[in-house]
Amino acid sequence: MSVIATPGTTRIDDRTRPPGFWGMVILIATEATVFGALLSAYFFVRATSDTWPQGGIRPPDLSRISVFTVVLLASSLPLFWGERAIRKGRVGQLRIALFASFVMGLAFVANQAFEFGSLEFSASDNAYASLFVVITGLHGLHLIVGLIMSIVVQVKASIGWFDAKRHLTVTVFGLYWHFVDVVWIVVFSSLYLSAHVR
Amino acid sequence: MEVVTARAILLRGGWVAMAVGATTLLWGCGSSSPSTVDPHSPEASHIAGLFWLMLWMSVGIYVLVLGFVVVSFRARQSTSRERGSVGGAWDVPPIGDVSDRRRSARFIIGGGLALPIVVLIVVGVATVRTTNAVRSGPSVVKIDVQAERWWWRLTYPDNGVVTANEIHVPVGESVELTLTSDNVIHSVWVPELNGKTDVIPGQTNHMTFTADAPGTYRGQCAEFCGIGHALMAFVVIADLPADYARWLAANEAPAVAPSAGAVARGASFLASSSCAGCHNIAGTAAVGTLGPDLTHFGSRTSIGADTLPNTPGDLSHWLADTQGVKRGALMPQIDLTDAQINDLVAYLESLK
Amino acid sequence: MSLLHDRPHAGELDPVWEDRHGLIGFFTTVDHKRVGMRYIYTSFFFFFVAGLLALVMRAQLAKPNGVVVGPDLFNQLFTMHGTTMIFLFNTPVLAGFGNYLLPMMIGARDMAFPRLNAFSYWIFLFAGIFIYISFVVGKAPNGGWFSYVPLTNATYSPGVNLDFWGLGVIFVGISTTAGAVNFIVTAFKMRAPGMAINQLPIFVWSIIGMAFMVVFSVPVLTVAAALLESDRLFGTAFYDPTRGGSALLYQHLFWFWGHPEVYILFLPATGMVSAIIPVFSRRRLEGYFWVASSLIAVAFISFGVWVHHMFATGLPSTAMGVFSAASLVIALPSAIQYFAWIATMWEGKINFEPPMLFALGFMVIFLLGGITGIMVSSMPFDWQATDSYFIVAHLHYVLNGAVVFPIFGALYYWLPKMTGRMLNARLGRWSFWIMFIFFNVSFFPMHVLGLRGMPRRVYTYQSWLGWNWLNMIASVGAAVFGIGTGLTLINVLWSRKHGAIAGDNPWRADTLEWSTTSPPPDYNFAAVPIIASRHPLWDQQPLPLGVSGPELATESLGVTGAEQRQTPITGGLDASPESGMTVPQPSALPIMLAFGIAVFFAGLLVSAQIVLITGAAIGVTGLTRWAWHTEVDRP
Ligand code: HEA
Ligand code: HEA
Ligand code: HEC
Ligand code: CUA
Ligand SMILES: [Cu+2]
Repeated sequence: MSVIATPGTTRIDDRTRPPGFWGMVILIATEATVFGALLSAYFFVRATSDTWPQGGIRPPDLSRISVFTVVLLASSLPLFWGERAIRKGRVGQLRIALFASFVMGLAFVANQAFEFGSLEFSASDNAYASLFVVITGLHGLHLIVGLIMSIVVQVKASIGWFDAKRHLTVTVFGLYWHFVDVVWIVVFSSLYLSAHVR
Repeated sequence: MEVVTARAILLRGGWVAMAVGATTLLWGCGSSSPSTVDPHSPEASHIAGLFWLMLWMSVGIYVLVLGFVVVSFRARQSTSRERGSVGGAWDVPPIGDVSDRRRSARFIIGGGLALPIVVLIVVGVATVRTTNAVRSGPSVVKIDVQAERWWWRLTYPDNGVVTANEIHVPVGESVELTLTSDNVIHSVWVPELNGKTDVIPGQTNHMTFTADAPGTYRGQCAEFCGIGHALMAFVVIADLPADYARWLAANEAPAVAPSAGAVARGASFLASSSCAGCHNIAGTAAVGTLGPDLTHFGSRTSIGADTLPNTPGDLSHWLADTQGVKRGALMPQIDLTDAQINDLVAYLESLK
Repeated sequence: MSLLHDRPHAGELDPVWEDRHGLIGFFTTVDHKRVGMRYIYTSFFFFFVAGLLALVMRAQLAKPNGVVVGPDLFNQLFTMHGTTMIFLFNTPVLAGFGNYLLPMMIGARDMAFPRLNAFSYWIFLFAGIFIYISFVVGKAPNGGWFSYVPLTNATYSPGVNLDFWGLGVIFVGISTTAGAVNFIVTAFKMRAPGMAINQLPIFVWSIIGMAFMVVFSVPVLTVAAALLESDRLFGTAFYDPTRGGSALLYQHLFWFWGHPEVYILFLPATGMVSAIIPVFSRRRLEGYFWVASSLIAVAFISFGVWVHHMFATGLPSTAMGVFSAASLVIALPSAIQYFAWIATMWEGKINFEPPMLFALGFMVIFLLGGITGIMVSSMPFDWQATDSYFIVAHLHYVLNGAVVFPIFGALYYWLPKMTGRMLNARLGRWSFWIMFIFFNVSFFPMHVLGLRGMPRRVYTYQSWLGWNWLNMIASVGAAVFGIGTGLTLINVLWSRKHGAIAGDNPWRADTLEWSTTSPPPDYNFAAVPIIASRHPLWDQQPLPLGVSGPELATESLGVTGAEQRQTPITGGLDASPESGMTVPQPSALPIMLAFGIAVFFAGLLVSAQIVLITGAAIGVTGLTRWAWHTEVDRP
């Protein structure tokens, strides 16, 4: 153990992404694969089926869910705003943003729960019903996890955990939340919109 | 000099292995095995041809590439070294000059890219040609095969013949099997006639072959289907056209009426016992469909999907100890006296 | 900057990096080396168990009409044998070597997420126990290692047997996936400064390729198994053709994972070979670029060939032809690697030590297994070969030969680093030759059996089929092969006390793990080396070591960093320092969360709501606490 050296290049750049960020990115890749597999299953069964939806089930109603889709997608906006804010150290603004997106997400989940309650079929009726319930249900579950994470982040924000330099948790949480939103776009187009296409 | 020993053993071992391998391979032909390399239909012949082509190419590649490996042992081994000791043999490897590296790169590209591409093109072309050759036109003889757990229900839709586990086909005619299952997945495999086709619930598959010589070809279920999978065999019997016509005619008829004695006793017992609930014997009170049709059972060559040969002794064994003969079979163990068994055997064997 | 700057370390560093003492330390460690060793030991335990199951099968099949076991038990045997070998031996043992070696090879002091790492192990252990409880209660899974529906649905497989399989597979998948996330981030963000992407050891490349395949395939297996369990437990209709579902859907999902999976197992094994051959040939690996590219190419192509496991399902043959062609193409990357190894040996001088013997044995066996792979990827021939003993032969030539042999080689190669003691070379040679010869005796005849019409997964066969002798030979070979593996087991145990002291670098190897003591200190590297070569220990003598600088980016490089439990974070293709990461303290969270998940799965298994909810509660609590305790941005 003798020689010492300093590395040739030293980059100091607070925009570099720490491991936690990449960990979440890859975790999201696995989650995306789960949804990819499920949606492939949906279209596979659909392709091998004479009627769609099967068993006389009506295609899902669009009116109500469209409104809540907008709500869910819009919930990403406050988060963007909040992330910008904390980069400048404005914790208060971050807290408002987190709370706003939380409420919007909660509203969406509440609506999903309500729609589940009023489904006119059950998951065991046929493969279409199973796919519909499980895919939307799994998305709902992801959103619930997102809500729990949001609570943790909000508590952390409220006790002054974050500042302009250290707020990786916010970024990572934001990634996840945006992902759940984006997935919904795909799920919504596949399960809701495309079911109306003959 | 242990290095040399190791190398020598490896070499010698290699030759021995190849000799053993070649012998065992040749063993693949002949014998009583239902062998893929003993084809009896154009389909199986095409595939066997493909196999032999690929086999000889494989042997060539194997010898060639392994030859490189063995030669590489010697290439730069001229300097003598002590094994395991830290010293000359464990020097820091030189960087190697550019020409060394070029040589290696050429070797890697040549062996790893060029050679296999050539081989794979040949294999690819042979694959396509064989696929097209095996895919055959319409067939006259059509047979419905329903895979049950764990036996085969056979229907000749054009003739109304219903039977089990024994597919009679005419020699020289293309036969199309329509494969369905209402339970689990099975797979039809008669190595001497064609490769496998799965039987999948919710889907209808087809399989064709043309037997080119009279004979009995053993087939077996090849997809794991539960406890009876190992004993879910069957036979394809290729008859000369005249024999086939005779077989069809015989099997279109209802069951022969029982004569007297044991046969008659067996018949009346069967009609009144639980057997009748599962088995069909056309022209009698036995109209069950859970088990194989027994209308012409006596003319068949095997019992329990080719588990036992069809002899009176084996049949009484089957009836006395069904679950012992074929564990898990969906035919329950039925309490029968020896006398009842004898009567049943007499009757069933009379159903030619 | 001078030598004086580097303070004497060991004594002062140990307390910083030490685990807690006693049992608590055992359950709370997050040290990648301890975790890696546990992975290796645990999975070898499963290897011997599954091997014994195989020997029982071989005993039953040695003669026609065997009476050793009946069909119900036999079906459990091959299911558990295959499932154990794939899920509980091969995947985790490679994860174990990866865990141990990856940080060492790239000069890091731990993995990117050490607690996640410990969590992966606990999940693996609990999943293994979970699956093996089935044997204790006499209800082991019996649907084969790919458990095709409808055979495995609630109608045809009532009882809890298949639930052990379905839930167990999902369960252990969590471990594999978490491990992959960890590997990828570690390989990209934790490299020693200067270790450019084209200087990564090939083994690291193979782990990267493996991890990416895991990320995009294991979730699909999870879906396949989750839908199966959903059908079984909650009566959904995904795979039920009578209610609009599809039996083939399961096969597509399963093999979309199943094919990449075999390369998930194979890639790190080739990575091991690429580490061993150059060292024992005293030659730098020829064609580094080509080998690394091949690994990545395999990872990609492996996603395009899954249908070759379904050639007999009656799909349109033109569609299947595409997959047939893709399967042929996958020979190319393997061939490139193969010729790179030959070129390396060609240019070098070979030392026939046990690791090298196993690598050579691998080459002989894999060549044959790969070629039979090419044969069965030709669709018409596969119609004959599929589901016959020809496939059993292929899969053992590649799994048992091309994966197990490198793993044994890796044991002889790296165990001295891990334990500080050499394995006995003589015993190693005996073990190798017995394994090598009797491997072929055991599995070569299976090709012929398949060609002669013997289907796989049969518990018995009749005496007149011409299969008797070949089966007998295979059985005898299997038993002796087992003894050969046993010799290595004995060797490992023996070496712990009596092995020669290994020293830092017994093989004069080139990669960084050999620059520390054997076994390495808890912190791996007191000062992180600065890399300027693909073979640092060959080209950079003496190895330059980092010194802690004043900025965030460099403060973790030197001993000062080690004193603060820091490990450097680097970025970019050339691994320039970015910042440091504090390695988390030992923690009970991983085992707690894993335990919660285990309880949850147990609840699903016995369909008991209380257990389910308890498990979920423990899990969510653990997860929330974990989220709370992320070190990343603690002020
Ligand atoms: C480590 C695991 C591993 C590896 C590496 C491979 C490698 C390959 N496998 Fe194998 N395979 C399995 C594990 C593996 N397989 C398992 C477990 C199963 C059975 C699953 C089950 O049903 O239970 C299976 C089954 C399987 C099937 C399905 C058979 C069936 O069920 O009907 C097919 C079909 O295409 C196939 C093909 C291939 C091919 C083309 C390769 C190629 O990657 C091989 C490429 C390598 C070489 C060819 C050698 C090196 C090349 C050269 C030296 C150049 C010269 C060579 C030529 C030009 C040919 N495999
Ligand atoms: C890594 C993967 C792997 C490995 C290493 C093995 C190893 C072996 N396998 Fe396995 N096998 C599979 C993966 C593997 N297998 C898979 C995936 C299947 C498909 C399953 C399915 O169809 O669902 C399969 C199926 C399979 C079958 C087909 C079953 C059937 O279709 O009916 C057979 C039959 O012979 C078999 C045999 C063996 C044997 C004899 C070994 C031998 O190598 C085992 C050697 C024995 C041991 C290692 C243990 C002995 C050790 C000791 C006794 C220790 C002694 C101790 C001291 C002396 C101290 N295997
Ligand atoms: C619950 C239904 C059931 C009952 C009752 C039953 N069988 Fe069977 N039988 C079957 C099934 C199913 C098979 C096919 C078994 C197999 O091969 O797996 C079979 C097979 C047979 C076979 C062999 C047929 C062949 O071609 O392989 C004979 C003979 C037979 N049964 C006779 C009888 C007799 C005689 C009785 C009454 C004493 C009887 N069975 C009662 C269901 C039944
Ligand atoms: Cu039917 Cu196997
Ligand atoms: Cu494959």
